[in-house]
Amino acid sequence: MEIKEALMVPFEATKKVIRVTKALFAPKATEVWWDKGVKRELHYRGKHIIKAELCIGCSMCARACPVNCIEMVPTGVKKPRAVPKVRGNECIFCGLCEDACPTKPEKAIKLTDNYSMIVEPGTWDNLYQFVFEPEGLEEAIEKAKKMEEMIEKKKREALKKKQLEDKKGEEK
Amino acid sequence: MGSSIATAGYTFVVEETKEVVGEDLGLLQEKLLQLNWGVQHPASGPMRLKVWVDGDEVVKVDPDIGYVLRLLEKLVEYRTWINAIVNVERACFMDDFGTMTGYSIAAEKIAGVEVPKKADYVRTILCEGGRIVSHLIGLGSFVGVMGVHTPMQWALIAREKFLDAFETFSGQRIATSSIVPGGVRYEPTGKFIEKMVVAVDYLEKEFIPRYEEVFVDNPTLKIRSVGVGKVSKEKAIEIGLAGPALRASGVASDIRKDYPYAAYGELDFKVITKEEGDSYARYLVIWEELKESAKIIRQAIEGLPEGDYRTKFPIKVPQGEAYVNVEWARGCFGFHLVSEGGTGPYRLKMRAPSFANLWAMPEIMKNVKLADVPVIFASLYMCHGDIDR
Amino acid sequence: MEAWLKALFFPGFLFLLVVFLMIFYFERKILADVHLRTGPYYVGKWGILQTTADVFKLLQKEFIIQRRANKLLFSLIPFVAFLLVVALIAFIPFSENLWVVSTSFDLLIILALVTGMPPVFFYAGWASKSKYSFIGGLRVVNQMISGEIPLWLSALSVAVFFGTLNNLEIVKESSFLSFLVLLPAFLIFITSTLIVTDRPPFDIPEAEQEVVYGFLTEFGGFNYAILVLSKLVELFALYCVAVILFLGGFKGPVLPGIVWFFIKIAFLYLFTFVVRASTPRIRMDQLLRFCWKVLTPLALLNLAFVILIKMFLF
Repeated sequence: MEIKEALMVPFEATKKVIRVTKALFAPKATEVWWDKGVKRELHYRGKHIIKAELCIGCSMCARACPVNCIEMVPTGVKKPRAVPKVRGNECIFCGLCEDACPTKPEKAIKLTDNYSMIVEPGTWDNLYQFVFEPEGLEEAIEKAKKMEEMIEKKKREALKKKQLEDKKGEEK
Repeated sequence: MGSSIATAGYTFVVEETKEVVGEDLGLLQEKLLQLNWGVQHPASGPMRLKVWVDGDEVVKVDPDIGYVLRLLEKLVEYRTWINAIVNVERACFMDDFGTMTGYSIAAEKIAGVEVPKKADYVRTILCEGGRIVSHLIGLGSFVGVMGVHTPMQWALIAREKFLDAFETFSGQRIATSSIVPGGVRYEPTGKFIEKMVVAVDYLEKEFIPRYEEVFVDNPTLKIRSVGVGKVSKEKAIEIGLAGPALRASGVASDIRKDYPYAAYGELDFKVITKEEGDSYARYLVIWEELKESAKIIRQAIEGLPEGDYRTKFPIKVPQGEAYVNVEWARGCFGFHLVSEGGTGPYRLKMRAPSFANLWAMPEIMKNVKLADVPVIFASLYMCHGDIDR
Repeated sequence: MEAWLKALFFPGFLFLLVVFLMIFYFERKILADVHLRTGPYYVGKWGILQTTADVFKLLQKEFIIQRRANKLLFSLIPFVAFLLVVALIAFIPFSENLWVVSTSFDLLIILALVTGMPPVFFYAGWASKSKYSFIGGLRVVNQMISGEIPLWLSALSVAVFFGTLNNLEIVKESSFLSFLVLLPAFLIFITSTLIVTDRPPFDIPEAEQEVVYGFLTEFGGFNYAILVLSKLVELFALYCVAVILFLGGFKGPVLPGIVWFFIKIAFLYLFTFVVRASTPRIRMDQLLRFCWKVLTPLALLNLAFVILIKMFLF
């Protein structure tokens, strides 16, 4: 470095110091949000919501999940045969399960804008039980059972009719 | 087991461990002092540099990596074609769009899928957004190793606007996983474009002037970094530098220009090079690429075509392999993808630019002062997640 | 007020603790302003109790001594450093009758005590028996010795100009003319103050990114708090000296003397914080070159200049 440049260094440095002081009077960028809460964007990928009455039990979401955190819980009825259950502490919130869900027009598994997920205390036992359960599962099961009963009734009636017809046919 | 390794021709050198007992550590007796610049150190990140110093002079540097190894390449083999992106993007979170784009292009090449033009443009916008986000952190951390944290804070404010735009697009701020084989996952809505324009406006009108008048051409910064860690053009090619570090040595290597992918072929931009090849030149290359990326985003938003943003990608992909290079924020990132006709990749090899820069570093750090170690380390612009994968 | 009451309360220990907390708070707040952040916010009104909370957290911490460390020296050093710097404050007149001691060798004693600091910090580094601490200790000695010579020379030029070493007399005799004549000495004094107390951009001994925290690396909890306190008090004392020597001490219109004193100190501190926000740290060899080739000759020239002025004008 030349001597001339070296002599200019303190002056240049002082200039920069004065310029940085400008920032003291600029508006602050911090948003104090802790007390207010923040509204997230429309399709923020947060906590799951699983609607059991829409689910058809195809287990596409479980297959699409990259970390295998979706478990298909058997319901004991035929339709849906099983519903998804998401283990919250393993989930990476990629939203691929939502993409894979085939139900139309509304998806049975969806990621909502609920981003505050606090588990306290954060021990392994607590985290292990931190699961997103399907909503309205019992109602859906009851509904499905009723449907099954109705279908069975209809089937029985149809069978009886058939048998009666058969008998009639035999009698003839 | 040991003998089989020896017969295979490998030799392992076990470091001598000397337990120091008693009153004196022997600091004054040793001529060369080995410093463990790393793992638990304010500026090292999750890696260790063994630095041997003689007084204030650095004699030798030996990097020791592997602290954030996540086996990303192996994990991809257990994924389907679509959801492998969550592993690929985790190579480095600073710029995750570049890696996802590279993987997607490789997968599309094997499957023979043509991507709609709109998806190409959206990919370009996202890639440049990711590059800006990464470069902002790079600028901040370069000046940060000299004890000034103002640039980092200013950069984070500008970065926040871009993250807002990414959130509007994909629903997450950092782990977006938004680019898949066959296009992009979400429709680029008007709100996303609006937010992106706001972010670029903030960058160009507020951040760049404010930053330029203090931290570019700063005399103390120049004293520290001009002529430090100098690499000539021939040497840079020989030791295999990548990215901004390579361009700072005067080699105009940019995959975006040389082998255009996505929509880069249709956009107008220039490759930034510097002749000096020292730390300050690397810093300036990052600084000027930032401005160039903002221009690219504006062009891509103007030229955004109508149409589909995603095509159907087959579940099973025929046999084949592809090698794709993309210009990632930190250099040329290579993807060697092999398919055996299954529902997922058979093998993926990622060629990481940070890894190349890391092993060039011992060459550069010869006959420097101890205080130059963090400066050179930060100027090479490496990402620890990328080194280990 | 009696002298021992003064030593305990007003310009004494309690006052120093409050000053330490306030300076720490303002440093964080002003740096945050330059960074366009908010800074401390939640603890107390405008986050004013944040630093107090931090210090109380430090006091609660476990007392850790490294296995290989020299235990006696390691636990003794922080208190020695604290006593050395607290003694500085006794000689500073905050206003016309607010001082603990006033002798005819005030300036000399203050400078001598400041010169006593490098060995203490070196021993702090050496007693830790850790590599980074040791390097930090070596650096601190290097830097302080090369910074103290311009400090002495620029302070001596004031003594030559006023013909006295008593702080009170210096303040009484000072005028606008003396400020103009001593302006170069003032600039040299402030620069070397930054070097001696290793503030940025000369914070080489505790450069975080190079040697972790220098000689402070192994200290924790109460010991750490006291060492940092003593470093801050050293800076405070040297700034007080700068105000007394060059800026006219407690002199000023309308407002009482003590207020003027603190306004001047606050101005100097603001300068320090803004420098910290804009100037990167320089290297050890560059600092040594700067001290011995630029600052010391300039200080010598300045001394000659003051002597000449004293010879012909007064």
